[in-house]
Amino acid sequence: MTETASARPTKRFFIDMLTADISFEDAVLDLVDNSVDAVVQLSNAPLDSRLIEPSVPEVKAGRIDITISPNEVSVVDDGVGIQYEDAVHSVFRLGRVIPMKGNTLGVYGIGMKRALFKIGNAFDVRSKYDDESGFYVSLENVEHWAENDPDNPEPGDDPWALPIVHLNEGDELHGTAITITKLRPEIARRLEDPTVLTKLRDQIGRTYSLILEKYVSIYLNGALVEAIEIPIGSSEELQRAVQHLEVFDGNVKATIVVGLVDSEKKNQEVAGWYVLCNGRAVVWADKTSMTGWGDGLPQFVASFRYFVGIVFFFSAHPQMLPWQTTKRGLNLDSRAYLETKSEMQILARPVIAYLRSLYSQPADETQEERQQLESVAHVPMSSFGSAPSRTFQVAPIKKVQKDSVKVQYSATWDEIRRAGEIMGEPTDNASRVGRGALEYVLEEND
Amino acid sequence: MALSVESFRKVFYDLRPGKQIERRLLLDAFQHLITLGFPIRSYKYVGFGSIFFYDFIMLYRYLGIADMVSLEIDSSIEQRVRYNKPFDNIEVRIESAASYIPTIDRDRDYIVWFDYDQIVNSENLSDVKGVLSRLGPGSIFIITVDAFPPLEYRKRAELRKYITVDLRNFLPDRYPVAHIKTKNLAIVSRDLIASSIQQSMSLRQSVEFRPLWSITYNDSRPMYTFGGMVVNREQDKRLEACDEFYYRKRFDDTILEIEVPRLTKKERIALDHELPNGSDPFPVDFGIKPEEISAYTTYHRYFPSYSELF
Repeated sequence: MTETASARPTKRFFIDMLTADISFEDAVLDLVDNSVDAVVQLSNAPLDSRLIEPSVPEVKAGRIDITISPNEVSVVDDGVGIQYEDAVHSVFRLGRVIPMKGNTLGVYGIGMKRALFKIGNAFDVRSKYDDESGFYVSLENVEHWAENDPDNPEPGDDPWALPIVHLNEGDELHGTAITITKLRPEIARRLEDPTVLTKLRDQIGRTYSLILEKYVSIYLNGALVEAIEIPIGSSEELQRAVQHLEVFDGNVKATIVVGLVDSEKKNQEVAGWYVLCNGRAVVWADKTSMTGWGDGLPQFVASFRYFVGIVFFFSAHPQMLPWQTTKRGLNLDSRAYLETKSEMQILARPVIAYLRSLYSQPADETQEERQQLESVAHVPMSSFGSAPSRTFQVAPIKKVQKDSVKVQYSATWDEIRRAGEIMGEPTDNASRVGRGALEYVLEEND
Repeated sequence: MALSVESFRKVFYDLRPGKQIERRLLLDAFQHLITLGFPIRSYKYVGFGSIFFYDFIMLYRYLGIADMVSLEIDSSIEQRVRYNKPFDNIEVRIESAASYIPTIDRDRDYIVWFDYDQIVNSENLSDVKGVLSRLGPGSIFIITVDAFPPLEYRKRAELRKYITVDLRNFLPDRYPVAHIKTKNLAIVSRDLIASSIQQSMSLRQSVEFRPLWSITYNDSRPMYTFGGMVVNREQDKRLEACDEFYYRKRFDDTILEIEVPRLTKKERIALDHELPNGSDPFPVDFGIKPEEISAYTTYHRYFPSYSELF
């Protein structure tokens, strides 16, 4: 018999390590993803390219209620619900047994469990599919459950098992309710900041902006979450670029749109790339190398602040989409993304060239300021460890009142010619007219 | 060169009775805190002295606070600021609050008073967050902002857009938009300041922020002041003894409105004679309204008197 080395995972790995990769907000969104899938499945609403067509199928919108306080986090939906058999065999497994099929937001089979462990030390999951098939799973003390993790469990004893109760009450209700309590102290503390929920609300509004209102209404602490649209615009003179692709052997559809920021949103730091997978935003206003800035495209700089690019990926094989398990950011090595990236850049370059041509003037720092900037010289890393703490210092520059100033303004050719005639110097040389006009005024009043 | 629009040019500092009452209230509170065991005299004071240094003079004369820093952002008035510095122990620094904040020493006790002459904005709210990531337990933080919108936000829709879009990162979730209007700007400012403070405090361990003051006054335009102390549990317990009428110990307490009745010197002397035990009806009558008497009764200890000197 061949000897073996144990590669069995530890519970601690799932509870402490996997949760380190994800924020509280993303954990909540993981739960919402499952609810969106459940709602969409019930109403047969497709998470496919019809989402970006004028004729989105009309369906009865489902409802998701998120409630968050420093004591409790819950997500409740009126979606299709989970069958008792599925709960027993697959839903609580860490990772999927069979790959997901269909245009869903769920992919890896890790989101719910990770969210439960991330947020609190106790949870209760109840779901109802139909009259016969419902259940609840409840764990009062995750820490306690984690401690039972023997190297060699007794035959027939599964330390990973969770107690489940089969529900078969005869009412019409369906849906899933997840309640997490005994919140981890760092999360309870963060929830004392009243703006955490403002930001979460915006994040939900962005993440599901294509789906909200059409397929589902999401409420956060009782107040409807409004969709935040991607701020792309277009006009007669400045028209967006669009390209449709099929990648990954035709398994993934991609639509790339590149253009300019909607002029009403132009001061809101919304420039960059947006990437959506099956209608769910995974990248929002990205200005980093993840979407090619400084890697194929130039580094993102201030003059690109009106750039907007969007990539919509759709697939019935969600594991082929370029999302990470946290669904915040791209799997840079995924085939779907690699095959799309060069097209994104080809479409983006004309927009970048246009924006560069608009803002080609040099910065308006003074010569003294430039000299000061150029005095900055390399400092070896070895000098930092023993350097005393200090703050950023700027030596004041003596502002010298210059004795001359450059004057610049716009005038029509007609005005230039007329002014020239008045000064008795008919000419098309605008700078001579401008200079002459000043001298004329000064002489007249001398 | 455009004229500076710093507030000392907009209003005559010396004739702002509401502001002066507020300073005296705070001075009274500091004296009270000394009796509760807070060694205010050895605190370091950081403020915006401008060219008048009123707060510095009061804190030095009446409380003996000697370690003081005045921040001035407008380098064009540096010479005047230094010229007007009343005592040698005031360090004048020509820099913004943002650039001063990294020098705050976590182990030192401070009174920091950022007395802005703008409405709440992302810059001053970021200053609030910065200061409250730094100040150690026992330190006092006070902020004053303009509570009347500038021209560009005078229209309700514009003010709402400004607060809900530009200041969104400071806004509590589900903030009632209908609440945002010019006449409520003090309350909206309080809520934004409170949430900025809570943002910083939620990242810290074993310290809390205990509000103590929430004041508005109106010397030609409404201003709003919010303040309190970073506390550990023991200090917070000591603050339970703060029971003067001017304390506001919860973030959402109603704001204290300082009212300044216009009285002659003669009237004041007559009223002072009956105070603090003035009865109802007040035993003197020279035709002033009961609400003016009541306002004076509340603030008579803090009332400034002005006279022209020749």
